[in-house]
Amino acid sequence: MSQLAETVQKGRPISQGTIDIEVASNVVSHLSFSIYRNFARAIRELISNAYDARATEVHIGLYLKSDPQKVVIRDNGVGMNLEEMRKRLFRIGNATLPTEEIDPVSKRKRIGEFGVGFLSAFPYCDRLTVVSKKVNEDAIIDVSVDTQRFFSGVSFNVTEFSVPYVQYKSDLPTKQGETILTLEGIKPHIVKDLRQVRQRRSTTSIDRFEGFRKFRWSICQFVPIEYPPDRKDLADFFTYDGRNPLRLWLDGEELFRNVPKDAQILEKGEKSFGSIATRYVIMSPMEPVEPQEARGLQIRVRDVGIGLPTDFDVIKLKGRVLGKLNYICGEIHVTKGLIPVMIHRDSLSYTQSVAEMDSFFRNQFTALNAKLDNWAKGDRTIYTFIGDTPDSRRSMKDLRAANLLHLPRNRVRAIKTEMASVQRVTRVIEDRGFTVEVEMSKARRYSTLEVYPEKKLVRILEAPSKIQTRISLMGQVYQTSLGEWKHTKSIESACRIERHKVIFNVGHPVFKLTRLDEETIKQLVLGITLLLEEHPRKKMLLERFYLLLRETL
Amino acid sequence: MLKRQAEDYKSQLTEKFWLPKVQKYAKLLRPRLRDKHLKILTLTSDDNYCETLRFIEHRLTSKDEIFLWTYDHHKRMRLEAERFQVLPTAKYEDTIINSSQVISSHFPFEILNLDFFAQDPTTEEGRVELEIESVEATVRLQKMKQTESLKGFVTIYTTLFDGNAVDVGKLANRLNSYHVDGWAGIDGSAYPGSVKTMKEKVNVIERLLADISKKYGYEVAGCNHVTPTEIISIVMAVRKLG
Repeated sequence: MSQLAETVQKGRPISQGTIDIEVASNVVSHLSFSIYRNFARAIRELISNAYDARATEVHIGLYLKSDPQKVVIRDNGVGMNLEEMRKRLFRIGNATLPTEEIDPVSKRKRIGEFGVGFLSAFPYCDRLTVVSKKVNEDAIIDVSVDTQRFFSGVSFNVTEFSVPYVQYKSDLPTKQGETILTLEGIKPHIVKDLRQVRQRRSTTSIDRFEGFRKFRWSICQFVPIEYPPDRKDLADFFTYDGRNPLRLWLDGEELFRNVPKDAQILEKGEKSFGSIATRYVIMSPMEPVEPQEARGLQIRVRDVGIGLPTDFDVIKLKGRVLGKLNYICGEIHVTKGLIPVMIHRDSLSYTQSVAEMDSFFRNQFTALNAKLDNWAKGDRTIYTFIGDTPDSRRSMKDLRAANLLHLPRNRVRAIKTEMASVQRVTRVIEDRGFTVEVEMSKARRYSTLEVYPEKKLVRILEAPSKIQTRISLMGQVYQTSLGEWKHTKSIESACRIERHKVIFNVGHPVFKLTRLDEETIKQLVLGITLLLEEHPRKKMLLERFYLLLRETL
Repeated sequence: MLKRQAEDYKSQLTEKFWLPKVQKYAKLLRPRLRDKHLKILTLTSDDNYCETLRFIEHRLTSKDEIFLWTYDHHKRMRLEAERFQVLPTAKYEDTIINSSQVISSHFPFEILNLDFFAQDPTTEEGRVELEIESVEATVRLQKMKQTESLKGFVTIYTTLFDGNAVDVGKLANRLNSYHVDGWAGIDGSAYPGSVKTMKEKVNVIERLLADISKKYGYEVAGCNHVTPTEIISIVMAVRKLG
């Protein structure tokens, strides 16, 4: 259409000009409040900014008793000059396209993409001061923002909003850069949360932690810091070549990622889902992971935790209760592909790749739950077999060292009074990759296990069965088994009757009477115990009878 | 002075002089406690506080009992990020001589590490005189805020040795201007009029520090000094009389 035709169609203009686009101050308020609903997550954003600025060290100091209360965050990154501050920090929503490119100096992938991370601190303080010195420049810029102005409810043109700045000559060497953020006048509810003290210390949930500990846990969970020094295996697996580590100190204490103590790697690998590639480690401390918020797998994109660890709704979607799901924790790192992260960094957009990933890990959870259940059953058989004998502690230690026992004894509820057969124990141990040699040892009183890890061999030293498996008394047949528990001199502690089953306490002195055979002792003990149960008032008489008998024999 | 050199002088002084002396005198101040919990004021730069960390390691103090003094706002921010308690940012000499209310509320201290060398000293005339005057003001504040539990304290005075002469007569007059009942004042005639060499300066400063302590009712429990290149460092322990 020609220009003439267009003018004719729209009519002749009367006047021309520009209309200012005004952004209400509460847009900033909505953005910051709705995105970062938690102080720890707000701090995570500021640390992420330092990470992107090639910082290798970040120090955070909390001053909750000073007046005004403040938080000081300092990093040794490249810093900013005035122009960069204008363009990057004070241009809200200055989004950059997410990229897979690795920074040539820090060898890190850029975290920031939305350009709103700086807003994160706004709702939590009255004044935010930024002091920054760019590397290879000598000036230090000091900017102070009255953050309260954004929450006063008054609409104003953000384009007209200005913050004062002062430039000084820096005392740092030219080559060094730094950025110091001071959040002054921390909101009273945040101070109250951070200073919250609990009378009873609990580790089960972060909501039961003391305020400062909860904050520290959250920081360790989300920010791209290092793994604990004793988890070099995780660091080696996840750290891509040459990435400069970020070290973080909170109130002078160096922080590391949360990894449950003694967590063993159950599975690790690499897997691609559509356009994204992941690296994952699934671990278990062989007991319920604490706090409960750490259960499941922590998804990390560009090394930053996305929301809390997730179980991918496996119970809801599989329709099965997975008893050992509480034992599982770990991490999934998205290593390739531009996975869409929601602006609050608490979840991922639900794309085909994400759906495939979720489904894969749901299946892994089901399989690992079955594996842990199976281990628990096998462990129970072994624990039951070795019982509570004097040798059992050493045997357990050897078995655990050889990876033949996985779960702690208190987690498998072994039935102390039940004897596990040699055949069952042999089957469990053989399933775990060891060969078994059974040896009958007449000199032994208890059956026990000897482990030879270098030969992948377990020797079962089986004690001869001294007591019949059944006993008949006054026409009643009882099943018998052996056990050992704390006893007194009283005959009462020599055996325990459970319906038609009798468990003899082989450690009781009555079994040391050498002038009677074990069958007779067993019948005597059972007889006295039955009489005691039937005539409790005659306890004194029966105990006297037992003592006389013992002295005679 | 280069930063690297500053770090070296402090770590060497700490290891060879300050730490052993403070350990020795801490036994006088807190004889029974294993963890001494000494309250420390130390003049420092932003990245040069190694002595405080060594004192913590040797159970002489804890982080909560250490107060750092720095003269620069940005240095203060750096120290605060490491969770140190930092006192107002100004030149120590100026602030203490004017007895600011904000500082006096933190007194008394058991260890006063008045390391003027860490405050980027200039070589102008009258610097040492001003520093000694500020030590006098510090001891005065210690006396004013004296508590029952404070048996004494240790002053570590460290300064740059330069070619300027110290005018002792003028300094004695300035110190005498703070009047204390029952104190006859420093006898200027007993001191040389002006000192310039390292040996003379150390001798005069030690005598002046002892006189200042006596003025405020303290007796000297021990005094030592070292003079590595361009630096004079004196440790003086005093205890309450009676």
